[in-house]
Amino acid sequence: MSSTVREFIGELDNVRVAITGAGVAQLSSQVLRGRVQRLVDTYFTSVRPGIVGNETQLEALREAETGLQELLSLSHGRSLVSKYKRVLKTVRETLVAFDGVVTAQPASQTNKVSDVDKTIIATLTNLVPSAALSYCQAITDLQAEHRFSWRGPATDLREALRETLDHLAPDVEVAKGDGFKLEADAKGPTMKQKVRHILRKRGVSKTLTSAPESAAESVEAAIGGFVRSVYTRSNVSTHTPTDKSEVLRVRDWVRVSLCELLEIPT
Amino acid sequence: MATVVAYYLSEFAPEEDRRNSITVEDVQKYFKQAKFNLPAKPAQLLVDTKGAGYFDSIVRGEYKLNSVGYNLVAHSMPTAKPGK
Repeated sequence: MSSTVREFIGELDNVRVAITGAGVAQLSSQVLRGRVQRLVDTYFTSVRPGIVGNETQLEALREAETGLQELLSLSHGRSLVSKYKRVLKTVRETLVAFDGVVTAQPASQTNKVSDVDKTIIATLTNLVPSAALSYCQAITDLQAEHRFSWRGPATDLREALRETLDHLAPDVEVAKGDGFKLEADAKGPTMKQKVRHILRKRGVSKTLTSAPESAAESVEAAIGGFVRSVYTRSNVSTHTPTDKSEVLRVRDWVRVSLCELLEIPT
Repeated sequence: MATVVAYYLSEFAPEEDRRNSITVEDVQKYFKQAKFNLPAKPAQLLVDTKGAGYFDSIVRGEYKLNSVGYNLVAHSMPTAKPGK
């Protein structure tokens, strides 16, 4: 992405040099005005679609886009060269600042994926690839500052845990276990029962199984409540920040459960 | 212990013995070699280890250490103290 932006800045400089080199106060040359229009077209058709960034970065980019639209407007008449130079300068400065920010971003984003999450993803990739993808997607989505809805990462986290539990403890096996009893209104074993089944098979004591069992139970309860609450809230956007913190809590519970189930030390 | 044997077979065994699977014969051979108590039913040990989520079944009686079993041996088991 950065290389595309830099190439565009280079082309913008070329246009500015050409306009300045014309040595006139008012730009009437059809060739140069056509060049300005092509420059604007290139941005909106080739450069802009490939740009991704967070809300703040894209907001900064809007200043450059307003400038480019102004350039297009200037190119439709015999406008002053000084106006072109002023707008080109603003567009350039905004794009250079944007380039600096996005160039630094990948490293900082990578750092946000903890070593534990990397190990969880690597283990799941070999064990249940679809669960690995769900977990990876949720962790990536949670790095965003703003989203219209947080249901996606919440359900991805639940699915990552559910699929892992289904793989390690199929319903039939859990149902055959000693003392198994369906919980009220449940059609099959709950996540909590599956966690207990797996850890008992590993010989983990009752005391030690309680933490991951509770975490799995909390995931079920929280996501059930979370998804329902989105339907019942009249103004979802007002509650978005709260929703993110709820999903972060779910992530912590899923992480605790997965670390225990996948034998990942924390 | 079955996971340790499977890990040894896949990672550290001499070239001619190295493989990604474990059977009852391996349990008997390597438990004895390590002076570890033989289980009453070695075949059941492999079934139980699969049930605990550490093995995947390849064919009947033959199992493979999966990534959870690998994590258990490589990352979660206590390491020997120097000099022991």
